[in-house]
Amino acid sequence: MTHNYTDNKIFTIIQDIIVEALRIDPSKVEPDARFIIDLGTESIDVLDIRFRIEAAFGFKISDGEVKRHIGEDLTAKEIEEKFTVGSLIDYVKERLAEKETV
Amino acid sequence: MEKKAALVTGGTRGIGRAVVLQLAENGYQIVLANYLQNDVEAKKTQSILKSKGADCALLKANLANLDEIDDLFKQVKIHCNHIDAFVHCAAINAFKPLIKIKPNQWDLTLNINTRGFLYSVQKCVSLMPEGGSIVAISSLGSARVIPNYGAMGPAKSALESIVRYLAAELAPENIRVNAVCGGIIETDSLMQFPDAEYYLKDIVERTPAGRIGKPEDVANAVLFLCSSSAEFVYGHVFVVDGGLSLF
Repeated sequence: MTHNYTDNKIFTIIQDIIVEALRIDPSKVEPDARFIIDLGTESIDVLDIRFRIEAAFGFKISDGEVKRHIGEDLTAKEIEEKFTVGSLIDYVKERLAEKETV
Repeated sequence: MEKKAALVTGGTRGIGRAVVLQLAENGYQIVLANYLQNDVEAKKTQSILKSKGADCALLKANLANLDEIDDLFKQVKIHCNHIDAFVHCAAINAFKPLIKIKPNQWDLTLNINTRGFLYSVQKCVSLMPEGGSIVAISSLGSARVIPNYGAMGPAKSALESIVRYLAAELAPENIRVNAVCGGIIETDSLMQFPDAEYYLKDIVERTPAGRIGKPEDVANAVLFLCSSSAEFVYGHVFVVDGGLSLF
């Protein structure tokens, strides 16, 4: 089964989720935006966004999965730099592609 | 005779883990532990429960999501056709001042701590046809100000109020509803408080018992409230704090 999400649709859904969760201006939610440094995301927000992504796309995200997707054995500082909106979009695309092949 | 069964939300770490172990050691043959995060700790809890001879299952569900609570209770019904005890330990918080809490943080905290409890109890009642015991875990932040306790204090206040209402409403069903209000308890989440070490030193000095609480202290109170020894206890908030709140 092929999923019906275009890249633009995925971005729009994720952008809406982040805007709604963090109550920030949509213009700030760009692929390069770093969740912690640029968007002020806290750990409870990460959990909130995770739940919203799960509900929107219909898959579960296990512990540390997004972090592993960004890179193995990263320091906290490196995660702060690499955990971007774009990295989350890439992760979601990958999960949707996996669903397609199942 | 049917096996004695319990469902514990947030039952794989901290206070929840101590509760499931205490129940398993005291006559509950089926112990269902709900959890949301940390599969490793959940498996560890399951392994300990099994070593105690309990028939146990891990039921992963996000209590902020009503559909997942529905699914949780479908899973419960696969494991047992009744529940004797339901204990709500699941909690989440942003450790910061309430004035800085963002709306989504407020919603998530309240949804898991309070709405998740209420909706679970609503689902639970049909599984207690012969009656049962329901216990919610609260904290001193329900009635007192704990710095950086964020939205959790108001959530626990609401939780205790829900306990009182449900205790009155469910009494005719022979279901007792109570709460255990823990003081400062040694758990992973305790260390998430800003300046935790300084704060703990001060707490120990102000606690007549001379120490902070252990998860087992709270679990002992839960066990009591679930037992027939507490058959005349309804809508009570049982404070377990080493005397901290006396001053």
